[in-house]
Amino acid sequence: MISISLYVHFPFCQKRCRYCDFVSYPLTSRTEHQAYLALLQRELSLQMEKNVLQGRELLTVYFGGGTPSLFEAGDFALFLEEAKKFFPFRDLPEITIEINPEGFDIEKLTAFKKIGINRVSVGVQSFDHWRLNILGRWVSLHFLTDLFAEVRKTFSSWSIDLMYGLPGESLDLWQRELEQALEFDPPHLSIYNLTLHPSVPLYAFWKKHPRLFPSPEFEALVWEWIVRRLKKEGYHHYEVSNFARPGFECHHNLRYWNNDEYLGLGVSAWSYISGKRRKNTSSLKNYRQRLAKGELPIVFEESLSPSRKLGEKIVLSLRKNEGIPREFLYAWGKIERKEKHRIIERLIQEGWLVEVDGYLRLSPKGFLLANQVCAELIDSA
Amino acid sequence: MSSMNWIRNFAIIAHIDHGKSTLADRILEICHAIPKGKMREQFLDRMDLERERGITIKAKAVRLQYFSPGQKREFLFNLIDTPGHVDFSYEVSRSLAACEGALLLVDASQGAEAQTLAHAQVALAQGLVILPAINKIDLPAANVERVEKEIETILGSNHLPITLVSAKHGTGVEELLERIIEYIPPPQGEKTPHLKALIFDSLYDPYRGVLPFIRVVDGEIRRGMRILFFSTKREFEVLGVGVFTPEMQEVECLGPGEVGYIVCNMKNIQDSRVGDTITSADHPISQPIPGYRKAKSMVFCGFYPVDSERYEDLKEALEKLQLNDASLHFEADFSEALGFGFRCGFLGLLHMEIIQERIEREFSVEVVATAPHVVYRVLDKRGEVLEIKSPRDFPSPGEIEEAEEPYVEVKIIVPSAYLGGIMELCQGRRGTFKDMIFLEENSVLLTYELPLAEILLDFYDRLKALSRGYASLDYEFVGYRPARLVRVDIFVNRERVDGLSFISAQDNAYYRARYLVGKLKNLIPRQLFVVSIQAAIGGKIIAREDIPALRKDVLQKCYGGDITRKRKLLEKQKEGKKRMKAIGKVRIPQEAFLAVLKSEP
Ligand SMILES: Nc1nc2c(ncn2[C@@H]2O[C@H](COP(=O)(O)OP(=O)(O)OP(=O)(O)O)[C@@H](O)[C@H]2O)c(=O)[nH]1
Ligand code: SF4
Ligand SMILES: [Mg+2]
Repeated sequence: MISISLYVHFPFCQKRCRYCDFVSYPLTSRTEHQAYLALLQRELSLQMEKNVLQGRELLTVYFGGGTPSLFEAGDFALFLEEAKKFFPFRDLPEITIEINPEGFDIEKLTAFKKIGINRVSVGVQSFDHWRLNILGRWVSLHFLTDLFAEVRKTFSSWSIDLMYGLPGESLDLWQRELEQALEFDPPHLSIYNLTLHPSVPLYAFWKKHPRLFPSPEFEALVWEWIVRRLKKEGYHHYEVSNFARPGFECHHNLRYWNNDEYLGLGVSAWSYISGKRRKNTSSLKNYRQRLAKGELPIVFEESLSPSRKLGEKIVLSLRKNEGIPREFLYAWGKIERKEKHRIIERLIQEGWLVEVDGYLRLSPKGFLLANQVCAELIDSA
Repeated sequence: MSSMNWIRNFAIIAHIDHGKSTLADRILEICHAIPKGKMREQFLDRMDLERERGITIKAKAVRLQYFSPGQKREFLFNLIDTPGHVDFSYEVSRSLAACEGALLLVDASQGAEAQTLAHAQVALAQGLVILPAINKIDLPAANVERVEKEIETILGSNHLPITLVSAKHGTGVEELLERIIEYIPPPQGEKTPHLKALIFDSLYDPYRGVLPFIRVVDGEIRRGMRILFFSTKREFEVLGVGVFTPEMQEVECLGPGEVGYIVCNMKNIQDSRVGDTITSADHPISQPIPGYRKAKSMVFCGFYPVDSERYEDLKEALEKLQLNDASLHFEADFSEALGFGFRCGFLGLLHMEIIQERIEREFSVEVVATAPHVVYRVLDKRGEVLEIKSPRDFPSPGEIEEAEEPYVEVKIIVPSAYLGGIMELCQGRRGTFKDMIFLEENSVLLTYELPLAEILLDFYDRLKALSRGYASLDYEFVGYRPARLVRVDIFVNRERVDGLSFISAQDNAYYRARYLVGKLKNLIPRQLFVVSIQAAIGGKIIAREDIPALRKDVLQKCYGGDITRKRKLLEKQKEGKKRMKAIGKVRIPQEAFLAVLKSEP
């Protein structure tokens, strides 16, 4: 049976973080939430009419945002009911929700669990007040301690999101961040770089005070320490910025890296179905209008050309620890085998790639320069 | 008397930005040349680049009908708006050859500047009547009295009366036009079958071929006539004649003193040499009009397509641009590091910059330009004289008997407060002091002789910096002088990059090499491996820096399955790489090639 995943986007937040360039609308009334939910259901049934998706096995569901945790458990229950009508599943799918701890009502956790959500991902970003402040966020350690105690009680699979590359970082400070996270003993951690789009307030800050931000050398140092430390704790570095205890990988994210199909619902959601990448409108108003007219809210669609497909395959596979089969690289693309061989051998010799059982993987040093190494491999494809 | 009495041919000359094109606007308006609603500022600056940069690049002729309230009759004006920038001085001198008079415009707030003087001297030398005017009198910073003194120093005490104008507001422009009629003489010419006309410019039109712009001196030119070009001895049939209104408009004929263009099915722009004389093939004259110096390329550099497969496109672009710009030179060139390209000659740095920009913009060919340099002359040990148009061809120290480099006479006008700093600058650039005159209490005209190479080496930027922007500069080639020169080679990862080689006075070579190597370290993006940069003279390393290897990329989260964003990032990165030239495995951006021209921070 062909499988599928669902990504559902909730474009509402209590307030705007200073580094964020996602589509998000300020928190609104309960009625508007319910209205949005109705739109999601409408979109789902429209998608089912226009795409031949019926009968696929639903493997994962991801409620992302924005801040989906502003919604009530009942909302998600309603949505899941609807989804089950279209997609059968054998085992219970992995159903994740993103939680923004700021202003979160801890009581909701049990309710989430009850309606079938079985994984939560908590966007902490940092435990340090000053750094949270810079990001435009606020949450106390005291609250987080309570929150994670409850999370651990309720869920076996959960994750903490942390961010590095923030102003005023020191190795010492970062060690404290990670040690703090480890105290909560999360089965999964996502650790990624701060990236700033020119439209966000923190970008202007960075322009003005670039020296407050850590250098790539320093980030490399921090990163190497993180990787070592987590390995020692028994975490498995299964993707560029994701770490998990064995068996606690995020299956939903893995589907992205594996190039498996997923249907995205909601404002500005992405889908990948039948070799096509699609994006929904980023405007809530437009989303509403299009659905009212019985149209799909798609604003961008591309059928991947063979070379792009290949490029994506390389990028996505190398993000994962298992890597990409060498033979696959030989089998595809325009360049002669001999030339490819030369490039691959050079990358191995220079220590960017390692080969394990016919699979090419990024070395620890290669992980740090994943973009560069991918670019060279794509050039060779 | 003939109708020539009612003709006035004049050019507007001035330093850059003193308001020539704006004054031309007012004159066009008074003569009702442009329909209402079509008028825009600096109407005659029509090229995109001219409009964007707000400067005139090409001189432009316009024929106007002016009704004089004073004389109560109509006059025919041929006005030429000229560029002010030093690179385009040759445009001014050839425009002046088509005129009897020149309006010398001086900005009331800036005072006389280097090209005010240079252009006035050319006009005087050509025997033109100079009608001075002070512009921008509306500005609060206007200092008319001071500028009057300067004009007197430049033109002498018996100069014509100075008109005070504001080209922006139109103040004084009518008075100026009446003075043009009064003081600028009508053309002197004869109605004879012996046609004598001067080519002062030309244009390439894809449909009609090369159109020479001419000023008729004697006789008439009309459709059907056969004409002879003096210097090439080639004959053509006149298929049409016209004038600029400023649009091109066909007319019956052009008589003595008149200015216009001719159509003669000419394919090759070299056949219409600016400064050449046209005569009637049936009734030729025996002596041509004394021509003027051909514009000579002073500055050379290499142009290489970023994408080597676009060599042919680059060639086509240069050929097309040359059709309208006889001062652009190019010949095929091959660089070990940069591949196939062209060695190009320009009038100056602005000219080079404009050509590069036009190639990229109008022909979409991206080019890497190497640092501009002058033409050296070397007498080698075998007694042969070599013209060095590329640093690559400069012989090693052992093979040189004597080397020479071009010198220019530099005229700098500077407020006396900054005099000391400027003299130090000239001294430090191997200059020889020649002369110093006070144009007015606070403004000095300095004359130095300097190697042209020093001018290319950010001299202008330093001059401006040392004078808070007040100093201005004009220069003219005066000849070759012996010099002690060496070639400095740059190696990137032990591979010589010939596009980065430069020739330097021996005494400065160390310093310049160290400075350049330091600059390159910052300009060449970090790669996956350590990149070494070395400078050497004849095999001896004199400077070295290493660019550390890249350590880390941004590790991004992939939100909600937005793979496209990730891929686009990579594609953008690839695109950025493409804009750079690959030397072995190292990518070198354009700025690196120009860093050769920076002498100090
Ligand atoms: N205030 C004031 N500004 C003026 C006047 N005349 C010209 N300008 C301004 O001076 C600037 C330069 O004017 P242009 O007419 O382009 O000068 P130009 O001499 O043709 O310059 P080039 O062709 O580049 O040598 C423009 O911004 C004009 O608006 C004037 O009478 N008063
Ligand atoms: S909570 Fe998330 S989506 Fe909302 S503003 Fe902050 S970073 Fe952006
Ligand atoms: Mg102008």
